[in-house]
Amino acid sequence: MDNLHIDSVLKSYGHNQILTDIFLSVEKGEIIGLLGRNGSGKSTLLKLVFGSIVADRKFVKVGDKRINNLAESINVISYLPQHHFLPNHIKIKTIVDLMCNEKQKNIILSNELIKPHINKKSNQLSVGERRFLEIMLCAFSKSTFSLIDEPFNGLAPKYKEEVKDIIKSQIKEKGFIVTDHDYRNIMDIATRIIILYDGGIKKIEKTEDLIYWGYIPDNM
Amino acid sequence: MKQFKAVLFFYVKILIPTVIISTLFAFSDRYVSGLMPVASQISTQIKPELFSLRLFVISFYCFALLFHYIVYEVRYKNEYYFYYNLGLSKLSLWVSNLILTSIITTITVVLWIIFI
Repeated sequence: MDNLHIDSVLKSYGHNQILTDIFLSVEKGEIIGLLGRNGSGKSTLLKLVFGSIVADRKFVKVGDKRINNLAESINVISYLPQHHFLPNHIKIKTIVDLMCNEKQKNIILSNELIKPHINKKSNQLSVGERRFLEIMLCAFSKSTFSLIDEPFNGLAPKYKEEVKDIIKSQIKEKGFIVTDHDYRNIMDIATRIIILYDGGIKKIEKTEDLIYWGYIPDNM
Repeated sequence: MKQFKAVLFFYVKILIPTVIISTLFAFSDRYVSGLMPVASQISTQIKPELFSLRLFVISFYCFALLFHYIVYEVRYKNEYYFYYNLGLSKLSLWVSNLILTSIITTITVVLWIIFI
C-alpha cells in the first residue's frame, strides 16, 4: 500500500467541467503541494479522492486496493477539510482516542500545544488551536495517505512552523497531498508541486512556472 | 468498536432535544386531543391521558429525523467529515439514527408495559 494512484477523474457541475481527466500518483514518503486559483477544483479533487463527494468518473487505487467510497478509504486515506470539522460536544482526549491508535494518541496528547487542552471540548479552543489539533489528527491518523486542505489558514507563524515539522516528520509513515494558498509554505515542505489549471494538472518546477500559469502576478 | 462509539456520540447530539420535545408532546396529549375533533371521534375508546405513549413514540421518530436534518445537514454540516474519517458514510449515519431510535422506542414501550 505504498502508492496512491488517481486516474481518469472527471467532475462537472451542470455544464461547468471542473476537473478533466486528472491523473496523479503519490508515493509513500512524498508531499505533493497542490496549488491553484480560487475555484480551480483543489478541494473538489481532494473530496473526490477521499470519497465524500461523487465523481462523474474516477479510478482511485491504494496499492492493490480500489477505493470506491468512504467505507473503503477507512485507515487508508484521511482528509482534513478546509473548515473546522471536530464535533463540539466531545472532549478532545476522546476525539484523539477515536481517531488514533495508542502510539499516535500519546504523541498528540503529549504535544506542548495540545496538552493543556485535552479535557476541553473543541469549541473551547481558539481558531488556530483547533486547526492545529485537526492537522495533528490528520497527520497522525492510521491512514497511509493524508489529504490536507488549507492547513495554514488561520494559523500563527509559530503554529505554521510546527505544522510543517509535523508533516515532514510523518513522511516516513505516509504520503501527503497538501493544498493551500500560502504557496511559500507549501513550497517549503513539498517534494513535488503541481497546479490545477483549466481542469487539468500541470507540473511546477520553479517559481516562474507559477507566473506562467497565472497563479502569481509577474511582478512578485 | 470505535465506530460504534462514534455513532453513539453522533446520536447523543440528536437524542437530547428529541427526548425533551417528544416528552413535552406526550404530556400535551389531553390538550392536543381536544383540538383534533376528527381524531377524537375516530378513537372514542381512547381517553386522553396525562402521558401518551403513542404520541411519544410517533413524535420521537419524527423529531429524531428532524433534528438529524437540522443539526447535521444544516447547522453543523462539516462535522460529517469527522465521521467520514472514521469510515462512517452519511447513509450509514442516517440508518444508525433509525436503528437507535427504534431501539429506544422499543425499550420505552417494553418498560411502560412492565411498570405501568
